[in-house]
Amino acid sequence: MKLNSRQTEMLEGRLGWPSQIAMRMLTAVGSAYDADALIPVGSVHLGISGMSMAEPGMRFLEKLVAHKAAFVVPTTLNILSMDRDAVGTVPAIRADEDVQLRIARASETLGARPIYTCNPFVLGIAPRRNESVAWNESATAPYINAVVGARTNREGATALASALTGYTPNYGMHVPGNRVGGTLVEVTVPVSGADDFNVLGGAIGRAAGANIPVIEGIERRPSLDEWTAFCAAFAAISPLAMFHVVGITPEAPTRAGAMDGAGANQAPVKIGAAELASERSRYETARGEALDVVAIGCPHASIDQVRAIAETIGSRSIDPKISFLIQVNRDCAERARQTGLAQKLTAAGVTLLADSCVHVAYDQIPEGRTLATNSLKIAYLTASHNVNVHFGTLDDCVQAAVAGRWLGDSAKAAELARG
Amino acid sequence: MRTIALAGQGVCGGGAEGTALVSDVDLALSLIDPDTGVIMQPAHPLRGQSVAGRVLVFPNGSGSSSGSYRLLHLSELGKAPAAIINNQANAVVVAGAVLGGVPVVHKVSPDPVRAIRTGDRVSVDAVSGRITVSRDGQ
Repeated sequence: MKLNSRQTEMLEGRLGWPSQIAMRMLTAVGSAYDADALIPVGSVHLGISGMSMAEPGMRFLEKLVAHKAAFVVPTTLNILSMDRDAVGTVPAIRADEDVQLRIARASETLGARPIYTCNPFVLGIAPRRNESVAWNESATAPYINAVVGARTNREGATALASALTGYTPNYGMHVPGNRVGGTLVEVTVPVSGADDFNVLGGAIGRAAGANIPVIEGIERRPSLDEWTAFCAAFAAISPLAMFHVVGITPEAPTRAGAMDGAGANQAPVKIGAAELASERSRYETARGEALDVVAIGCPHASIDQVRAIAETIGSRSIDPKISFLIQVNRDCAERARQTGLAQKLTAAGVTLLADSCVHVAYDQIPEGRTLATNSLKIAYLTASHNVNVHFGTLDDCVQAAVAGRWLGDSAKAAELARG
Repeated sequence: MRTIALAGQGVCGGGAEGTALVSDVDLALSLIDPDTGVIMQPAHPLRGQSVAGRVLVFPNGSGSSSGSYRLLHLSELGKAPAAIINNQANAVVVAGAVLGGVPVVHKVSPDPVRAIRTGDRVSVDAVSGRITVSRDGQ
């Protein structure tokens, strides 16, 4: 791999330890993927969950601060393992919260913007077309590559190295030839709304296998809420960071434009009502009507989604046995407070949480309890924690929370089966 | 005593020696217990075994990107593997190996998950990519 003079200076430690350790990570990863060069990145989205980084990660960031390091490109921060407003309310997790707060403080000192969300797109934060970036949080990668037409790999600790140096190895999604579609998928049933697009994302992630899917049959450009629901589910099920929707996403003006010549002639994998119903039922691990926790907001809900939940609840209240959580970004929580929406939801028994995520929360759902969610990603991930899962639509989840028991999604299943 | 020579591409780190721990199933570093080094990955053939001080041989990394910080964590506690040998090292393994100071060699021939057996003594040079395996018996 060829390095320019600045990159060489960094690697040799002439610009200090922080850019040296970062450059060692980037050159090692580049060498493992046979990258020809390190290329500039326009921005970084950095994962800093205390659950992942723990005390050694905290000490590493604090060492960077002690060495007077600073991020050299605009850097935003992903979720925390708790809501900053709730710190101290559960004594058993206080030590972990301290670690997370020190990680957050160090990241901010290094220059990161503290948005603490897995869904920067609802804040209007996104790269430019064809721009290379290094973004953490797997759900953001398909949105950036497919919907925006910018370029990122599914990043881990290397995103921190990119923030410190402004570079990433030129491999994977940064190389145009690796973005070509491989599996043709035809959606044969109308899909509408975030819940439909969420299930579709899982089904297409599964159908695609190891090849980037090229999707036909989507009749209109999805809304932002539909896209983010689709991308989160797609990234949960598939290791890929890219898809194409013919006539809609920027690198797929036509089928032939998104695939190579031979690929465009293949018979499509068809996704219809039966495939969507099968995908949905796959995550249903709970039996019966028991229900303890309802979790909405993976990825973080938009203010429109929060308002829709309040409207569905109407003048009713959440059953007092049920813990009903909506995860949002801090800006959305503030707007809900300013408009009185948050107060209305609180009075109805809803907990609006900012900064965090059900999946990486220190205060976890106890084993053996039953969770209902409208997020395929949470349904998929939570099952491995020995939590029983009901996977339904947003409406299914709200109605169940009010009733205090799971009412089933039989209406939806019947509708899908009829096609 | 029998010795076998393998050759691969050194990715990061220097030299190391240890007893091999081998699987032909991809491994998620994020599912290694950070305090003990014991593999917790459900249904993995090496579940329940500790990676501490071993030359860990598996085809490719899998799972969450948080696995990089897990390798740093294990290294600070002295529970990290002595070295990692992969068919293809992924970014999670490589970034974590740099943070934790663990040598990595990949693209090894002959296929390391078949040529190396759990219990073999293995010497790894991640600069040259050379691997030497010693085994008791014929």
